[in-house]
Amino acid sequence: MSRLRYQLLEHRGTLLAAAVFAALFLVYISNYATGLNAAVATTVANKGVLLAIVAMAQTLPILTAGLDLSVGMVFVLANCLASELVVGGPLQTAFGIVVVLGAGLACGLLNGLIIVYGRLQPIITTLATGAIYYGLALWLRPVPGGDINSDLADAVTGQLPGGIPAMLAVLMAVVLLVWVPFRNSVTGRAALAIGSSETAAYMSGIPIARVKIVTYALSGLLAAIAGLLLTFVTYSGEASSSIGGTYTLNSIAAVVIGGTSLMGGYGSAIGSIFGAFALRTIGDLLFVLDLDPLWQPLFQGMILLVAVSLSALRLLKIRNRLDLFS
Amino acid sequence: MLQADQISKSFGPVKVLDGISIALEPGRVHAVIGENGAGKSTLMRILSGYLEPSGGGLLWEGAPIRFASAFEAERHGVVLIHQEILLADDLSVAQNLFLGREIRRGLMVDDAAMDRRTRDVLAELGTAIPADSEVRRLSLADRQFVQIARALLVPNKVVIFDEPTAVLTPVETEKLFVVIRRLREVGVAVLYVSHRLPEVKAISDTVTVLRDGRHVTTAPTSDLDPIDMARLMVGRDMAKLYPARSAGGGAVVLAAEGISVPGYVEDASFKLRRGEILGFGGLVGAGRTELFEGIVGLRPSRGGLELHGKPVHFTDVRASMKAGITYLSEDRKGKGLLLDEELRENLTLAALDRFARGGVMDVPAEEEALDGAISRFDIRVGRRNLLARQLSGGNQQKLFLAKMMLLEPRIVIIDEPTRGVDIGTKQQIYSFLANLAAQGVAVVVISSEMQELIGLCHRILVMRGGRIAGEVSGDEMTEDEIVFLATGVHEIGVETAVEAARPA
Repeated sequence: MSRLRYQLLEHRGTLLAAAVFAALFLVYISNYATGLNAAVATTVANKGVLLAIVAMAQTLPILTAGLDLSVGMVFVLANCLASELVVGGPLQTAFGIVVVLGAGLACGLLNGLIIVYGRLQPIITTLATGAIYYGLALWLRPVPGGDINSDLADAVTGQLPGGIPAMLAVLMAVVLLVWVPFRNSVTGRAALAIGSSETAAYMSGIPIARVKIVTYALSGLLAAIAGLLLTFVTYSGEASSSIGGTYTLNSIAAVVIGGTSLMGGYGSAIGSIFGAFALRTIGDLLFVLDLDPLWQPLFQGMILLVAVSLSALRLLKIRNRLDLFS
Repeated sequence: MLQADQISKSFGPVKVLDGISIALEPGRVHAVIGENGAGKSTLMRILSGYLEPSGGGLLWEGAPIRFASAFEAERHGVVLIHQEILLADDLSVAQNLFLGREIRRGLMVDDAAMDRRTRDVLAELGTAIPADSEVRRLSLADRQFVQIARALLVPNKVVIFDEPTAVLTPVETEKLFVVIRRLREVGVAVLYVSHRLPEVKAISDTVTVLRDGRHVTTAPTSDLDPIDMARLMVGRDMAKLYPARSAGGGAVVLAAEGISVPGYVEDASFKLRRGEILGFGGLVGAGRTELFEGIVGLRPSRGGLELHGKPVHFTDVRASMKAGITYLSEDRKGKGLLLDEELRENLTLAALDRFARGGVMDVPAEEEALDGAISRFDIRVGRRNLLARQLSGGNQQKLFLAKMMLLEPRIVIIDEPTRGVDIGTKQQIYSFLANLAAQGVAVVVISSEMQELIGLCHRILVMRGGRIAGEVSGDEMTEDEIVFLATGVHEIGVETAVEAARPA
């Protein structure tokens, strides 16, 4: 087998998600009144990047065969915190950002500590801690409001020279500063090993506890980055449980569309990013196709099912049914 | 009864079976032997409807027949007894036996009737497994019997056994042989696939040897000795399966004094010396594995342990690995390898830090290590980006060995080193372990194969019921002596089992 073909196979999940996104986006843009221009691209990016980063946050625990149901709530908590703290002069703004990101890291760290030392199932742990984080957000901001450093917000949600959405540059930076180092690190390899077989990883001397805690902490950090960006988009904070819930569930869908195995051990955050953009485009598609809003959830669900099935195509090729279960 | 006529099977470009013909006759036990990858399991799967042949066909009582599925084969009375234990752990024995074919009364399942029937079937098999016990609570051997009972529940004319004795002790093997002989008496055609040639000699009427997907020979069992069979399987002389023993017996590197692993091992003491291969024998469940799991820190243990003369106590396997002790589990698929990751990821997993620069993985260095491992351990792969799952059992074991040897251990504990491994690979593993000992590493081999312990080890400790029952070395290393220590008595059944397990 040629090197190229092998590379393609290795990244098939990511490539498929990219193709799904490209196809959906093409349909979307060709039905959009003005076609593609810098303003449209910026709007798409501003909406898409938020879910993309939450989906990255979700990817990390899933790679270890875990799950983080609290990402949406950390996202909302960070949004509320930012609407309180990321204001005023440059120094105060910078301090606010550090606190917001630190809070996200702390939330993730707590998840990891409980899962590892409390020996609880990730799904239940993060369901519970998610409710706590949402409670904190609600306490911080009982009614929507607050403010944000508007210069910074305008810069982040605007365009770079050449009409490139600044938000895409932020996403790129997050990928380069968080995902790429993680993927290539000893910890990242160990996380994949844990997802593949926790027993074998343990017997190989992998420090399971440390790796899991780091993974969940990073997940919290990423969710908080997305929450901060949300504040730049909305200029305010809102403790909305529906936003938190929607982002959590959509992040899982994005991870699956991105080709990451829910069983752990295989996948990539890059796939999740394309998955998130694809998911976002589905929503916008129904808008430009001028569908009755009453039908939207139904169609959205159906397209989602098709997209997820596409990424599960390889399972259909497995002839030996026993291989499906193992 | 059932015949394979010029059967071929290809997976993509790989031809795994090439024109194989065999005939299963009523009231006869037909053994099929061959190295891993010789095509035994493919042939079995075709005969039992799990696979369709790409060339040739099956004949049922002389007439061509096609099995579209295992279900269809089962309807004709062809059942395959799998080597892997495929049971639902949380269900009872009776529930497992009738899983998918429950006895019903109206819409309800009739538990009482199934329990009764299960007790009858198990009694016929000569086992005392309680019908209402959860399968989870049973020993591996008992589970195997449940699986056999399940297969024999349907009316059968052809019964195919795939390595049925892999987890059985000699006594249990003898029980299984009684079952097989009974099947033969009532006119069932039995196909028996096994690595254990003395067993093949003891139980079969006819032997077919496969090599590289081709038919080598079919002969009456009485015409072949196990050593002939081995030679036919490998295609070369197997006289020297076991390497020459090195001097052994250097300084004591590990001294265990009164080690207890609660629930499994009581008061075990032994000394392990530099450059020796120390065998641990005994029945499955005697506590051999648990003793060493306790020593390396995988289980809580008590007692005195001295490593190079210094007292140590490991509560974490990472600590013992760091101290130079490497334990290779018998469960290489579950505890040894990441089946869904590639060779490279598997190879370096135990020594990740050695392949990292400032916390970042050094992939070229890993690739280089993989090159080294492939040539040093003769891991036979068509391409390097295979998943561990795609390797044969023998290659998996070599990969597992290569992985753990990257730790450069001074003490190697290897549990069932050749389980599910073909005879050619066995020889390679034996000579590797002997070399390791010759270089001064202390090696512990835990094995249920007595021949292997006798052929390979300097000394053998035999465990029984969680205690060390005794030690044999030199001329005392005979199967009789090991079985005596393992069971404590010269029972009649045991003696028959020894007879059966010994080359004629």
